[in-house]
Amino acid sequence: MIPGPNINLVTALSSEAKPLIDAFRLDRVLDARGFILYAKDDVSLVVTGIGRMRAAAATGWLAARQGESRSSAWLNVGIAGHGSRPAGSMMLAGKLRDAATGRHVFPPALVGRGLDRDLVITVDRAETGYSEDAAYEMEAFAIWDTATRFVTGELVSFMKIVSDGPEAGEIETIDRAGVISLVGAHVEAVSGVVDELRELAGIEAARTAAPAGIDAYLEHWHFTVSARHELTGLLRGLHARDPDAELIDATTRSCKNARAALDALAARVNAADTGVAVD
Amino acid sequence: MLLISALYIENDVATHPRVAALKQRYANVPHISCDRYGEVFNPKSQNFRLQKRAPALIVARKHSGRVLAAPDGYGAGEGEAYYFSHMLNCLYDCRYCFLQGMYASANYVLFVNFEDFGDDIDRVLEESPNQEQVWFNSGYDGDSLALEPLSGFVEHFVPFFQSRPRAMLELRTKSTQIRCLTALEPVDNVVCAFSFTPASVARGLEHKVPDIERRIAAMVELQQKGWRVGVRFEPLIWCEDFRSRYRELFAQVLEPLNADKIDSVSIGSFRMPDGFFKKSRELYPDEPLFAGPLSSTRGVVGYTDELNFEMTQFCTDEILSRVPADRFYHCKEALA
Repeated sequence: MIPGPNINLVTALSSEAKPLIDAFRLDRVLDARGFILYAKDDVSLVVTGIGRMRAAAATGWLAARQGESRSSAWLNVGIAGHGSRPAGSMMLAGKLRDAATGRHVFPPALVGRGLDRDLVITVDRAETGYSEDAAYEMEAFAIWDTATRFVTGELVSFMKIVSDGPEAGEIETIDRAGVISLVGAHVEAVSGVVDELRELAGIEAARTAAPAGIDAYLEHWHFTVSARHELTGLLRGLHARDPDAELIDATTRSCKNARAALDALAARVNAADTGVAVD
Repeated sequence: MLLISALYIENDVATHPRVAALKQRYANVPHISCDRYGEVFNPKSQNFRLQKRAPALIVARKHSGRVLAAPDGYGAGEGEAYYFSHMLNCLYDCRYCFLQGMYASANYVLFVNFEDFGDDIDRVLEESPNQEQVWFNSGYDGDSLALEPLSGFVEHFVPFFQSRPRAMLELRTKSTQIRCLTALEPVDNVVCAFSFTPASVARGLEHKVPDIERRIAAMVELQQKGWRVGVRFEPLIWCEDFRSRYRELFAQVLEPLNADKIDSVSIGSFRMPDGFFKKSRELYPDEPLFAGPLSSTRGVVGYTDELNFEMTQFCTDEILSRVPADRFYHCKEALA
């Protein structure tokens, strides 16, 4: 299990991954089975393979490896066709459409201020008609659908780099070196977005973290799932009211079971009624 | 200029003149089209707290439910009371606010079809021919004045109400953005009500709100220019040294005003529907306000009855020592 928060980069192709592996100095995770995974510090990169099925599977797989963390951030980086933009231009997804169902979603625009945003359409076969002024690719919607089962949408972002289209050239002319070059030209922007996502993920990590002192309770008594929720709330409340309070005092420690410990803790939380502290 | 991260535009209003102006004003942020604002605003996989760091603006048409009846026990004036919301969400970030518990998104929604709101207000007036006055409250799903440069709400609706003397408009605000009003001649049937908590509480709970001194100055200026102003000590927040803090607040806010010309003064307890409270606490689990002496009664979280009584009794006595009884009321109902 990898503890959160994590930054998860998701690419379909190993050629898309190559410049990111270099930039973030990632190492291959040798015990990873099922998908190719790289990681270093808080950054992981999974190579999904082409298409929505593989993208969804890889995203779910990585989320599971990370203990279904609520504070992982996800950034899909990849090439795309585009109806009007020239090769090499880059954009974030402001709106995603699943071409198969016509469904739209709107990844929140919290990161990448100043970068262009476009409609990104996830298709099942490589698009050569480019009928709309949009980016065409094959994974984004599936990654969104899967990642947002685990994390809030603000932590999921999509960066697309134009490789083909009426203004960019034919899809058949793209080779591995070309993809590496296209993605490599935007590593700095990727890094900037990663930093912003890391900050947001940090806020979520702090918000969703188990409260301080909970281990002492869990080691001492057995709590059911609902009792554990209650314990979490009470410890949060105690800390909110008095950040310096002893999290498990002598009276609580002498309790015979979890219920009694919760009652003792509740009594302490409710005892302080001085109201909101003011400066 | 208010910073926004993106401008979402409902296709239905893409060519609306108010939207055209906003497109021009925000030419440098991404413009993203949508069919209905709910596609952007309502999905569950959103985090109000994170979005509050950089909200986007969604411009949309309000199709129905534009003017709604306010519950009994709500509002200052005699007569029927309604409320209407041209915007959802607020520039400010007050920790006690129900909006953070009610909406999935912190993005601002601006309904640009003001004329339809106006038609509905006229309809309500026609249906209440015998009412001497009918109150229309704004500023419950967002501050009435704070986003005026973006919305043009006051610019449109104050003249609208001016020509309908039976219709009373209450603007509710924590803003100092009063130029939109001071640029106009005072209008008899428009009240601008300012909300306050003690300065020290405001510093802890009312994020991004102008400081209390500037708000008092704005309120006094409006009154001196002939506008009707109201004072809302809502919500009352239980705090250390509650009595001295609130006594000081009442003096600070009420003394600079001409007491004879204050339109109304109200108090209202902190209260929030259970579901909104739960969500707010999940967003801010370390917020001391939510760990306070609160309890849930009939689906609404508020201070315990005993404490509530103590707080309201004290504040009522203090305010009545400064303001005539016929100007004071205790707001007992939340809209949400």
